[in-house]
Amino acid sequence: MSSVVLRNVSKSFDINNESLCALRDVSFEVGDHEIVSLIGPSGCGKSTLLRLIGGLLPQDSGEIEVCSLAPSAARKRQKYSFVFQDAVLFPWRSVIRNVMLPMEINRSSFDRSEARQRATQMLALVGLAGFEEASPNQLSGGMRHRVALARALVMSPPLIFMDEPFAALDEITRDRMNIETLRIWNETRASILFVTHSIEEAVFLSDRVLVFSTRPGELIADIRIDLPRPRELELKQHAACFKHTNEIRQMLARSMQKLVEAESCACT
Amino acid sequence: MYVKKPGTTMRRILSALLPYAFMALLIWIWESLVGDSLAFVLPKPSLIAKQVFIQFPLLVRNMWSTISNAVFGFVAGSAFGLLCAIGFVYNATFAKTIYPYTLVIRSLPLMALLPILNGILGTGAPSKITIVALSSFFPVLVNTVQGLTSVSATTIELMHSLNASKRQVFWKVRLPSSLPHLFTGLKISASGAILAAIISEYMYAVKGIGALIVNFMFGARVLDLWAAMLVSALLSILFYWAVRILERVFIPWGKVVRE
Repeated sequence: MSSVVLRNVSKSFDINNESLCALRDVSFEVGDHEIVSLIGPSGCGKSTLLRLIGGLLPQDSGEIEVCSLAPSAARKRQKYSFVFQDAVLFPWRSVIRNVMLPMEINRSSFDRSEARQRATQMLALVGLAGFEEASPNQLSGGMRHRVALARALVMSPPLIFMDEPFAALDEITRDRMNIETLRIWNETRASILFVTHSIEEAVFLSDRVLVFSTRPGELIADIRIDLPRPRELELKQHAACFKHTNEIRQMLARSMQKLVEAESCACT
Repeated sequence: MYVKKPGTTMRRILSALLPYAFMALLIWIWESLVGDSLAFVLPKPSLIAKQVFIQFPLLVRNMWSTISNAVFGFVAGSAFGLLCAIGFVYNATFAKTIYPYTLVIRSLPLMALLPILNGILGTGAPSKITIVALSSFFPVLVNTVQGLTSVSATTIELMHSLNASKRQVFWKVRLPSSLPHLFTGLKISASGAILAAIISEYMYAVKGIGALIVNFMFGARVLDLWAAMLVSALLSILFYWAVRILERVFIPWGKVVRE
């Protein structure tokens, strides 16, 4: 069974009364317990795509299914959760109460002490045991993202959308968060749809990397990453890893090249 | 571990004392420079202090109505400002129709309003409270609107993805994140509330610091005027500090940021 199915999805935006095509005819599937990365030049509509799948934006045409449901229905049943580039923690809530937020909003079946217990477990899972009562303002960037991750996991969704979650972190913290993401993924069995600008990150994490062209965003390649799991950081120096990153880098360069040629043709 | 630098405590004490030292210096210059020619309009600070002491019973007796008008007006005006801000943020039509006119309230000369309000509401406390409320309304309104709309797009998306209703977004995100802005407005209003209360006592008032000031003015009692001014300044500072303490209580997370 696939957790996400897209068929011929298109989306355009009206900017200054001009219709701007952001995504054209995108089709793909994400299997159960799969990590799929979306990569492409900025402005190619990757983040828009994530919002369409999450039901935060309506698509113009095409079909989207999330866990065999329409995106908005999937959202109502909390089949997925989001992690953004900004951790979005509320400073007026302690760390644990930030993690409890999804349960509070959805008035879940958990009573308060159960909810607290669950949030404590999630914080332990992301390596923040003992920080329950801390204020988010006291945490480092990496720790804040761990809290955001715990909040995303607390309703045990079968699917997690991550929109450039570690883009604002330094490289050392980012490497550690990549390892943590894989470890947590392994424990929770959720599927992950991951938007990133980093080719290396995409290859390191994913079972598949979907490469998008620049605007209008079109899916130009679906690359299976056949690196063994579990993966360690050393893998990033491995020849098999280089092979994939090079392949994707060339693919992106070619798509940019085409764009430049198209633009210069239009000028002459 | 945090290692304390030598001399830090000393430096901190010195920097805390700085404003008081500056004030002492100013008072000393004033005290020593005042000559006989200006002594009538600009008496020596020591004489003013002495006058406050002499007139203390009179000033205190008149202080309470000024304070109560200021507090009630401040609370009413701020509450109204807060409610209007919420209305503006949630109803675009209401905002578009009313918001431009709130600036008019800010620019009204309160003195000119006095006789009008006295005619409508009588010469008692209600008209005076209204004056203070009018002066408190606008700063709270503008800052709260800013606060309520300063929530990031990502935050709204997060709440949306978590299935939050509009009501939940308001109580769990918009209102708490607007508190620092709200308190900025409250501090501006609080610092002006005593002044507005004094202005409201310029007409038809039998008691209050404002009524005293009018009396002193027409009696050319300059020393008493200075004493009244000193008291009203102190009251304004106290009011401002009271709101600042409330701010610390309501926004404990703000303290973490300041550290």
